[in-house]
Amino acid sequence: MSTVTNRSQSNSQINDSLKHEELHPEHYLTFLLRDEYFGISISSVKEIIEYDNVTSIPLMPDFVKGVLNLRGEVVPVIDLSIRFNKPATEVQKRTCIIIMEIPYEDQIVTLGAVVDSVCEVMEIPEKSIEAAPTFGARIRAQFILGVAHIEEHFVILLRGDRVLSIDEMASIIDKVLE
Amino acid sequence: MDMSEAKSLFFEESMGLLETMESCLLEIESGEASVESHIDAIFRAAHTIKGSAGLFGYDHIVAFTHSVESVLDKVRSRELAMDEALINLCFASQDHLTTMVRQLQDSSIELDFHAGEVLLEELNRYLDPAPEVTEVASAPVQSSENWQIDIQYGPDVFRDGMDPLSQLGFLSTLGELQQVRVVPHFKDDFDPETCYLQLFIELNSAVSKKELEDVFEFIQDSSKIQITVPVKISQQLEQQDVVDEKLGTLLVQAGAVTERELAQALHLHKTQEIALGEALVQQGVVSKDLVSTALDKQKATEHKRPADFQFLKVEAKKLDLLINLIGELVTSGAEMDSLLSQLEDDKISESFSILTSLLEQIRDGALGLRMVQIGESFSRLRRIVRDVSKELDKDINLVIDGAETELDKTMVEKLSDPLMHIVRNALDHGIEPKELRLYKGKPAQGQLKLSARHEAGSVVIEISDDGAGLNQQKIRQKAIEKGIISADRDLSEQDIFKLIFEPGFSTAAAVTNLSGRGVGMDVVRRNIEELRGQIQIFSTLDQGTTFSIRLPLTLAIIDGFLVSVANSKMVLPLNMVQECIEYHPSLQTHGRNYLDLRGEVLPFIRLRDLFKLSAVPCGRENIVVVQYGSDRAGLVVDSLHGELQAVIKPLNSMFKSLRGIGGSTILGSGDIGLILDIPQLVQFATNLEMQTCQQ
Amino acid sequence: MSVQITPKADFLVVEFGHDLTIFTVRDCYEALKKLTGMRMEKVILDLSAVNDFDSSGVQLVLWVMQQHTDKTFTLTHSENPAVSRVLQLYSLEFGSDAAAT
Repeated sequence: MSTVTNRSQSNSQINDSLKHEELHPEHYLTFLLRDEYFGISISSVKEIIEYDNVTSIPLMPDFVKGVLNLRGEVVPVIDLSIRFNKPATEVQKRTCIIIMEIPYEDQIVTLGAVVDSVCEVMEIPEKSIEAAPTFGARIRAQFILGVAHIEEHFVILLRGDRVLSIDEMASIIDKVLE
Repeated sequence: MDMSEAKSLFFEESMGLLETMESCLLEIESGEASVESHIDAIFRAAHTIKGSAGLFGYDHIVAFTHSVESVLDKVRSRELAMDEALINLCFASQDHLTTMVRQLQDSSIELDFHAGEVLLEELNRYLDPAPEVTEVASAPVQSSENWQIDIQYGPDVFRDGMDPLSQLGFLSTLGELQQVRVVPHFKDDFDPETCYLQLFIELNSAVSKKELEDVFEFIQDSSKIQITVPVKISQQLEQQDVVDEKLGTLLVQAGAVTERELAQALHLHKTQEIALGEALVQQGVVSKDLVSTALDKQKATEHKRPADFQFLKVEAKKLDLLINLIGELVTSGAEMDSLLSQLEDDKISESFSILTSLLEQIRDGALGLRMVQIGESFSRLRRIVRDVSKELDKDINLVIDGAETELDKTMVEKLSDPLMHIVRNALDHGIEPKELRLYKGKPAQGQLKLSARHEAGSVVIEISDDGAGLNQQKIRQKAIEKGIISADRDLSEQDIFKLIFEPGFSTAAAVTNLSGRGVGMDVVRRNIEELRGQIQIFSTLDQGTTFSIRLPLTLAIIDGFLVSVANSKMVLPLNMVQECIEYHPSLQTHGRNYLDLRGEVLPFIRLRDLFKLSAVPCGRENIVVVQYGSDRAGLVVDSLHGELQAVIKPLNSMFKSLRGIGGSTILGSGDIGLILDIPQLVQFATNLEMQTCQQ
Repeated sequence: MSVQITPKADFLVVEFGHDLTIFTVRDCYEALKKLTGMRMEKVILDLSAVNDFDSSGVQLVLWVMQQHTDKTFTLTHSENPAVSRVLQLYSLEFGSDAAAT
């Protein structure tokens, strides 16, 4: 298995592989938030773009960075670090937005998640995935699909539909606005 | 067209016909219209449903509709009078039919077969003592006729195992084979396994053309079959007592043409652009004479067709695509506009403004396609008012005003539930029972009024009753009991009324099964809010209550006015913008947010503060004076950027709690602008101020 | 054999076998080709032995009759029910030149 750190692919390489890869349930896109590795199933991932031109929405809680124009579609952008109770992402050269498609009610909704950098698309067989540890997980258990041990790193695999749950985010916003 | 498309079409068509039936019945019952004027339409509705159902083999619907149709036929021929009992029976039958049709699309709906049978019995009692045998044939019964059948067999018929003998054999069971002529068309390169036969058959039979066609079902693709109509049918066509039928339907109904032949001819008609009658003749399906007879018949009924039946069914998706495209055109135009203004070329600018004006017309036209009259929604409520009034034994007169007011189609759909709920509420709790009304000195008949109108860029829908009105004390008490408010809370009249929208609130002693399926007024408010609308209540004790719903004309594209506030670009609906004035801090009076506008007090809101954007103004500020409904306010912004056309892109559902912003748009520069919802914004600002005052 | 052609004094007897259907018409056709060369003018088509008779068989018979304009044909089947039923359906009077135009 390749080293997670060494084989960082470029965005365009990743975007290509997202297009061509059959939706294998065992393929994950790995990325970094600060110094922690995360992964998400590529079935939710549409593409990766650079962080650019995000229009902020007034009065929103911090994790809502705003919205961006994705070829004519207005897509909300979420700061995953804040979602996971980390400090806000500092926008740098490698900062990216992962554009995801999440089912909601009977539609598919497009959302963007800001991450510090994106690593690669890799195959993580089910048997390599362990249940989330009950201790030390600063991130809410319901966000986590499991943990994989790859080379020397722990990769926390996320549940896209929970991390970017429209209902949950709406209710947080609701409380903040009250 | 595949089966499922055809079935959907049947469903939609039948539901439409059932609605027509219902409104006609309602008008007859209320005395608005005479039986004579509507009975044809009601009969036709039943007849068409029966015919179409027959095509799909929905036998239960056919059987039921057949009885309904027979009874209606008797009313049509004046053998039966449409008295109260019969009208009620018609309503009940229409209900049952509606359930049967609905059940086709939603198998979870339970069909009450027993109820259906009871209805059938009652219907049959109106018919002859010796009731007719239920007929399932889709064509009228004929006496024996001499049919001419001409079959040119395809070459592979033998190899395919389709022996003409089996067809002949079957035909002989359907009637009498008067004559059979077999004409071989041999070629020099004769192949014994290839079929070169042509058959001319004369069959005396009482069966329908469709049944004859079915005999040759399996060789339809390989062979050419022509079944010609005997002369008698053309006579029948002349006598056909139907109005408002298209040529094809007329011929089918007369038994001259089968549905399949019609479909083939229609295909020819569309792909080769020949007239339908021509296509039918070309296919050898009917004789020219028959077609002209039918055409004459059709012409005779054309002029009677009322103007409002000339509608087209259009797929909603196609319309949305079109509107999207137009939206792109509009954005593109905006970009062009800004580029051109830099050029400062008069001729080009003028030419472009002509183009823009044409674009606007197309835009308005396309958007207009999405608009439907609210009258449709109101009409559906008529039935509910009727049923509930009967059930509660209340005499209620429904008045509808402004039915032609147009709304975006999606809004109308989402409105039907809230409207129904409010109406039920008025019927149930609003209007008092007769005795109580008389005691109060009111007329025994209660008035319920539904109205709709356009007002300053919004649609206002009102439901008023002259009933008991809302009792502020009772509401307040109930809210305290339910813990919704504390006992010492001081509330205005509006606020008290608004309490009924709180979840879990109900002043009725008994929650009747009429007032919603366990949902309350809170759902009504939520639905209205989801439409970015507002609902207000006006009420006077013992006099009545009015629910007033204000909705934005949420078009896909709006004319907007672009401003910037701090780093944000915001768009205000142009129709609400009255004027712009420069803002000076000196304009503030008494340190509060009011200013003196030509003698009038104008409250203003600093958007920078409201939206908590960066605190440092960069230069001059401006006030945009807006009007919404009967209210005015000033919005303090930074720069003004002029008019634009904006394609509204709704914000993701997660932003639904956001007050004051109704959507977003992509500006010519590619940036995103936020579209302001003015009434919501003002409400938001007002609430905030109240909160700060209380603290 | 599917077809037996027996020359008699001044006529030909063509006897068809049990099966005169799509499965056998080709063989029969081949066999019947011989007729062309034969000089007899009268031909008896004997279908008495036919048990299975279908439209391709009928067609073949019709073809034979139409093909040889120099000959006269007589159809016989000795009240064979299978044959007579088929011929009745097709309104083909046997004994005369068939319904061929």
